[in-house]
Amino acid sequence: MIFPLLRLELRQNVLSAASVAIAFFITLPIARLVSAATGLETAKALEAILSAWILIGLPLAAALIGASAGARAASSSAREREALLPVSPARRAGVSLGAAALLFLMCALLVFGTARLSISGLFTYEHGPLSNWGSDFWEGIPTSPLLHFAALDILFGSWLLAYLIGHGLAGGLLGLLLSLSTAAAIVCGYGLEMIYRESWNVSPFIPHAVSLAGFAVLAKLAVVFPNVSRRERGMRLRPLLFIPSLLAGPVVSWSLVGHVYTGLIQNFQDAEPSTAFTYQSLSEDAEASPASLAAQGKEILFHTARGGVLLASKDGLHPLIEEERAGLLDLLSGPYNILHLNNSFRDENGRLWFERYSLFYLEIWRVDSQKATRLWRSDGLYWLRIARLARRLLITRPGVGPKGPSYSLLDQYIRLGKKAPIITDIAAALDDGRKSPLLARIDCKGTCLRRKDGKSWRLPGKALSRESAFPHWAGGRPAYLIPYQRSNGKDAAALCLENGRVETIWSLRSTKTDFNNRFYALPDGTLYAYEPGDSIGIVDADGRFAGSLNFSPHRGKRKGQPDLVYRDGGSSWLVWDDDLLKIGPDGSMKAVHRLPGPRYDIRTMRDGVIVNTHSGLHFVDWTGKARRLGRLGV
Amino acid sequence: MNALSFSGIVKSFGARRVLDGAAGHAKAGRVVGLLGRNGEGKTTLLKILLDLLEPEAGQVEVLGLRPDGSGKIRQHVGYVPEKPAFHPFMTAGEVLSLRARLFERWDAGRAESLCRRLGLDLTTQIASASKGTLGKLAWVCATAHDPALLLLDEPTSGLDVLVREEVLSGLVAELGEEGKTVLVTSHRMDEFAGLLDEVWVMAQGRLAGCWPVEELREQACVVSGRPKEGSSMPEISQAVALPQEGPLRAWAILDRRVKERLLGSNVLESIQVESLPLERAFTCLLTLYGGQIQ
Repeated sequence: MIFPLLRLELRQNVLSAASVAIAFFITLPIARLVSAATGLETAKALEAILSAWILIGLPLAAALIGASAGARAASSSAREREALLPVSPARRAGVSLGAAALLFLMCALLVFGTARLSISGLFTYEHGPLSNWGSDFWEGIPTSPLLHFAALDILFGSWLLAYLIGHGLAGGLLGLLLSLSTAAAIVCGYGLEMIYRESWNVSPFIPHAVSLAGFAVLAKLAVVFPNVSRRERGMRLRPLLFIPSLLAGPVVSWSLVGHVYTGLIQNFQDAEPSTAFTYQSLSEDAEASPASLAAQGKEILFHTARGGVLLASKDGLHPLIEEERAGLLDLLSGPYNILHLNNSFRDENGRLWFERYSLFYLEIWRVDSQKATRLWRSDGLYWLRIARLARRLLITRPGVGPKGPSYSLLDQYIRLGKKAPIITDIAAALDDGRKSPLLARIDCKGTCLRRKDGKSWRLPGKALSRESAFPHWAGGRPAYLIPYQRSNGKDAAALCLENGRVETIWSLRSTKTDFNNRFYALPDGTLYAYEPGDSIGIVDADGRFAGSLNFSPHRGKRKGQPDLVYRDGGSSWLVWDDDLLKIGPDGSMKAVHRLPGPRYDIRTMRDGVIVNTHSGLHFVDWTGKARRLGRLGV
Repeated sequence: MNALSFSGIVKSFGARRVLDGAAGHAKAGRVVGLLGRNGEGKTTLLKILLDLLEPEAGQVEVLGLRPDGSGKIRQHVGYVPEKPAFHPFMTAGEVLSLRARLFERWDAGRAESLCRRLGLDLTTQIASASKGTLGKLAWVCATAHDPALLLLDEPTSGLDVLVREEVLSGLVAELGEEGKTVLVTSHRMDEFAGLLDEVWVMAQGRLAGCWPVEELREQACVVSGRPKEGSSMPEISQAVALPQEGPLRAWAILDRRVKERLLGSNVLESIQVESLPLERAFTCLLTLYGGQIQ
């Protein structure tokens, strides 16, 4: 009984689908115009048009087909013609909706077929114009089912509203609006989740949104079809029932977004400066220079959530920049950037750069190259917003260059009311750092290290890498660690000191040590690196190899590797898991101090360590005495 | 056994209550005429019986089925609407073909035979079909699935004289003979006079009266006479005073007992009693139940 009705509905609604198909074929030749206007290849322009059809045209087609079918089903003429058939009104309405869906799918097949998508691509969007859309934004999101779901939701909503209102245009527009509102909520919610899930425990949004949106569709079906029957049989509609069901999708989705949003706001308020120490310096041990704050027993901490900045020392926390209450805009732009400190670096002048804002821009139309075609692309560097107050506070630090100029800790370019410059190419910015006068290069033979000022060191062997070398700091002076190969084929490292001396370290070790970029610096200039076999190789502050510290006897139940945090009189202090260990010169355990709590992060200072725990920031000196520094904003 | 019965039917459109407690029943095989003035709810009642409209209150049973919105009742009921409507993009043949797939008891042979009898061209495009062609098609659609109950709403509207004759003397009569129950409304009920078993009169949203046609045929009469001097005219209920000029008075009387009461009251002289034609009796019925004489 369904098929005759379906055939009837298809005949009655074929006009709207045919108009979509005709519009589709009319727009294809526009590719040539787009090509001429943009310089894109015609094939690429065609792909752009097909992309537009998939993303914009088909949703509009869904609204058109759904609304015209709904309005027709609601018309008095249709009821007069079909009411006498031995079929329930709800079934006739259902068949009308099904026919509209079928016609829409035929239009979709036409578009996908022209785009030469495979059948699997039809459901996965892995081929054709959308294949380049695999940006990080969509990672983990069931894109294709959501797009299909959205299109069908538009179709359903448009049909329903046109049917209830009895007007195709109004129903189509309202249906489109409701569905797009739901879709926008899901995208927003997912965006929030994607941005913040690495930092906070954000409950997965998509499964909730999709399941609740699906529930909303079922609610529509459950409420509306009995109303369809009532309407057809001359009974009064029940707006109190079907209006909420129509609004269920957007309301539920936006409520979820609100839930995520308020949760994030709460997170902002509660958050510790948990990733306060994660910035990287271009020169790994820049902070080991005598000019560094760490060497002075101070450290800059950033509140990763609320944007506050404070100066930490054993005496306590001193706010430099007030935290900001998170608002909607901060949620969408601010904290995200503070969280992503991985792109931060300290340049050769000691200035701290890091990604403040990521610019998002939409690149729908560029389908001409794989690298360019990403829906959302993060680009650009802003100066950190903390510079606003830093310029007032005039925080300065001594220069790190040989000529001893002073540099602002933060940006000297930003002035009150002047917008920060945007650096769009971090690689170029890093290259700027490579103009440092302290930068040294290996000569072409690989046996000589030469600095810009003409100072050079002859290496005891051939350097393992021709990469430029930034100075480490030993005893307060620049020093260069250059891995090289000895004549016996084994690796060693040459420490090139400012006085011209070249020390060979780790030369006696038979196993290969990965020197490159694996040296860690302590505020006093001590360098260390992890060696194979649970040991730490140490170069003391004077630039002499101080031997290896084997930490395996003290492992117990501890996991991972310890951090070397201090050296004094041959003894070493390690932070390992939640303990501060003191190891004597003979390798025996001298003391174990429990840290104030499970640590998120740790920062080595001159007089102790700052430990970031759930309960706040604590300063722990080398005797294990702990003092709570407080919390940002408390 | 009742082919249809209903009681307490209430149905409103907006603030206007069209049916207000309508109740009635028709035995199987009866041909019933439904009389009523415009807007009295005849079509509404038919649509409720067809399960096209849902009453706000009341009980309905048609051929042992209760209307539930499923449309099952229409499998067993034929309906000829006043204004037949079909999809304009179809031909008459396609209209029948669609119904053949939807009605479980559709008899293609019967449909073909009806088309021949009515002179219906199946290739006629609905969009360009005349009112008469649509009427014929409606008749075929209403009867080809062998319905046990036929609801006819102005069924001869638009049909030419020959076809109307074929419908009345042929189709409806045959249906009656086949034992089908027929409920017909028409502003020209006299056309069906020879076919009807009873007439129902609708007034003020109710079934105000139910008259066996045979009784009407036998008992309906016009009584006229001159009132005797000095006698006062009695109140005569169940009689319709006919407009008269001069001293003569006349009443259309549908019930033998009313006639006898009038004659027995001895207030008239020069009395004449004439039988009342059935078509005039229908008019009197309408007047009797709340309207003015037509």
